[in-house]
Parts: sequence; structure tokens; C-alpha cells
Amino acid sequence: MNWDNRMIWRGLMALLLVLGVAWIAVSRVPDEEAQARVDRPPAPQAGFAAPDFTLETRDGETISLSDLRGQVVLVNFWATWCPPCRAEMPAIQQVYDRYRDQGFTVLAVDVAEGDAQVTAFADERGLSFPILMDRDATVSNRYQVRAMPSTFFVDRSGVIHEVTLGGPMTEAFIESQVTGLLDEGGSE
Amino acid sequence: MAPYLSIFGFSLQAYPLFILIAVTTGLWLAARQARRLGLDADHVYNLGFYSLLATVVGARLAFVIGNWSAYRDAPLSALSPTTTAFAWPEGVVIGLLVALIYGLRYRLPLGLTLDAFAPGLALAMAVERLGAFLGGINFGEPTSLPWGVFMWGEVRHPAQIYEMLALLVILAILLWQQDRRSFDKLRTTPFDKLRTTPFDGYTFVLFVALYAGSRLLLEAFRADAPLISGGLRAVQLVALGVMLAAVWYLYRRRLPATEDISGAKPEDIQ
Repeated sequence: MNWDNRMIWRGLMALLLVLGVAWIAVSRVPDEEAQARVDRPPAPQAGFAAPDFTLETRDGETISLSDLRGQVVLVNFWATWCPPCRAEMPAIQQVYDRYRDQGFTVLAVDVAEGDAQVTAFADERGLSFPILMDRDATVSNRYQVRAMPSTFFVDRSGVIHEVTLGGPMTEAFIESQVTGLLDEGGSE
Repeated sequence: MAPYLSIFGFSLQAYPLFILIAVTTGLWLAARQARRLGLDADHVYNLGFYSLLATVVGARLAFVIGNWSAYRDAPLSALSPTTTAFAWPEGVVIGLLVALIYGLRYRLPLGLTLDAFAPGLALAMAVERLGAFLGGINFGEPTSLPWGVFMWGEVRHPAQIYEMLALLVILAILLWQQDRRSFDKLRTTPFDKLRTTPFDGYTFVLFVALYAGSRLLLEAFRADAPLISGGLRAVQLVALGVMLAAVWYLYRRRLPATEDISGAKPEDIQ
């Protein structure tokens, strides 16, 4: 009964088409929910708003991540005892120097170290971007930092665009990420 | 969620670890099925290895070319181990091209080779999904169902686990189907009218149809699904098209029922 056979196949395809279209319609994301995606609770993951934090620099100045909305921010968790962290600092400094005028900044969050140690390191390397002291590691815990260095590239709207675990990152890689994010929000 | 696993005192990132397990077990299964189908398992390992190598190298090259203004002054930076400096979609295309070239070079039979790889692919993708679950990648939509998992600040569908289970079911179907004896059983069941000829490439096309169907169904539970206008999930539209094309192909290559062979009109046997 070849006719039946063919009918069954055609019926199957028609059924799949109807069910498929119906399912696509059912599972579409309404506008309100699409907005809710933008307003997701913050989380240390690409696609989410970067969890806010306020920390002191070595000089006692306080900086909040949320104050930097509108800028592209590289949040780098590091420590002086971590060789790849030390290795990538000059690259971060280079990119910072080159793009700080275009709305790029760096927050280098030192995880649980003493001021003297960090100051000695920063002065020796001539680091000019803000270095924040996460003295009791609360911020690095909030960012679930388990590998050092951990770097979060935050776009102008405060959303994490990319998370890079481990290092050292090259200057070219950092620049590629930063320029991409600067271009993205150029109209703002 | 367990983005890091502690193994012998080493803290390892779960997702890359599971990618490695996926590649290894997938290639192993592909080689095993290749032997069953009468193919040379060495070719399967070589093809898989070269293709993966080309995928990784190609993905890095594509990233560097895409960001050439940053890499121009320091081309050696292209060799850095940074795991995020890859353009994977382009890499996959290059990997597939290398697989094609290898297949042509050694005159591998296309259909049978694809058949050998299909179950391995399903297994590898299932393992990858488990890694994605542990790593918190491709997380699901929020839910209040009892099996929801807490991930990134909300109780969510374990979308990756749904996908893993679907792939394991697909794997079971492919392995069952690839067992030649199952075709004899199939002929006497009520599914008789739906059976198709086990032409070379059948397992692969079946895999494509089933996987596209599973993505069409399960994409609805993913919170990271790319949207197009009207809030439609783009992957679902692609999956529907691919699934229908694959089913249509199976239909075109179906085996005419035995009683038709005698009196079949030419257009009935395609």
C-alpha cells in the first residue's frame, strides 16, 4: 500500500509543521519578558548586569562600579603573589593609556593583600589605573572568583560582555575586547 | 552548578574538562561504529583529530583576523593561551572543510562515514551539555517547577539537562537503529509503514531530524536564546526548517513497501 505509506509521510510532515509553528508561537518571548531579561538580577556571568561594589583605593578614595555607567570597564581580580596577574599588568596599563580618553577605565581589584605590598608593586610598575583593595575578599566572593586573574569586561550599560579566567592576557586581546565594546556604545 | 571541580587537589574548570571528555568519548564511539559499518577506524580517529585541530587553529585565526587592528603590531600575541580569544563559529566551518578535504583525499564513503559519526556526535553533545550545566552556561528560563535549579540568582529550568536527556534518547535510537538486526524487527511492527530504507547516510539524516526536533522543543526553556522581531526564538525557526528538510529527505529515500515493488509506478520509487 504505497499510497498509504506516502500519505503517512505527508501527514507526518504536515503534523510536524503545524506542531512546530504552534510551539514556536507558544514559546515566543513577549516584550515584557524580553525587558525582564535586560533587568535580570546581577550575576558574575556574561549577559548579566555586573554586581555592583564599592571599594577604597590605596589612597582611601572610594569608587563604585555603578558610578562608571556609560564607560567600558575592565574589572580585573588579581594579587601580587600571582605570576600571570603580574605579567598582564603592563598590557592592561598600555590599553588603559590608549583608550582612557574614549571612555574606558580599569578597576584592578586586589584580593586580600596589604596596602604596602600592593603600593610597592604598583609604583614599581608605574600603574596609573585605580587599584581597589578588596581587603576581606567580599567582592571577589560575590564575583565567584576561583581563578586568578579573573577579568570581567563590562559594557557601557553595566552588562558583563565577556569573562576571561586565567592569564596572562595579551595587550592585543585586551584591546580587541575593549575596542569592540567602545564601538558598540559609541552612539551613547 | 559547580563551575569548578576539585580533582586530586587541583581546581579545574568544569566546562573545558567536559569538552575534553566529550571529544574523547565521541571519537571512541564513532570509531567503534565505523568498525561495525566496515570502515577503517583509523580514518575516523584521524579525520576527527585533524578536524578538531583545524577548528581550534581556525577559530583563533578568525579571531585574530577579526581584530587585526589590535593584533597587527603584535602578531605573536595570537599564540597566547587565552581561552576567550576564539571565534568558534568560523572555526567550526574551517574544521568541517578540513574534514571534507580529508574525506575526499582518502575517498571515504560520505554516507557511511557520516553514519559512523552520528552516534559519537550525539554522545559528545550530551556530555558537553552536562558540562554546560555544571558551568552555568546556556542557563534556563526562570521556573517554579520542583526540579528547578538555582542558577545566576534565580530558580531556573535545568535546560542543559533537558538537552542532555534528549541527546541520550537520540543516541539510544541511533544505536538501536544502527544495529542491523533491528531492521528485521522493524518490518513486523506497526511502524512498518514508516520504515525507510537503511541507505548510506540514513543514521546521520535521522540524527539531524531528531536533534533539530529536540532543539525546536527545548530552545523554549533557554533564557539565553537569541530573539528576532516579535520575540521569536531564532534557533527554533532554523530547527523547524532543518527538521522538515531532513524528514522530507527520509521520505524521498524511503523503501517502497515490498508489495509495491512488483507493480510500482516509476515515480513511486525515488
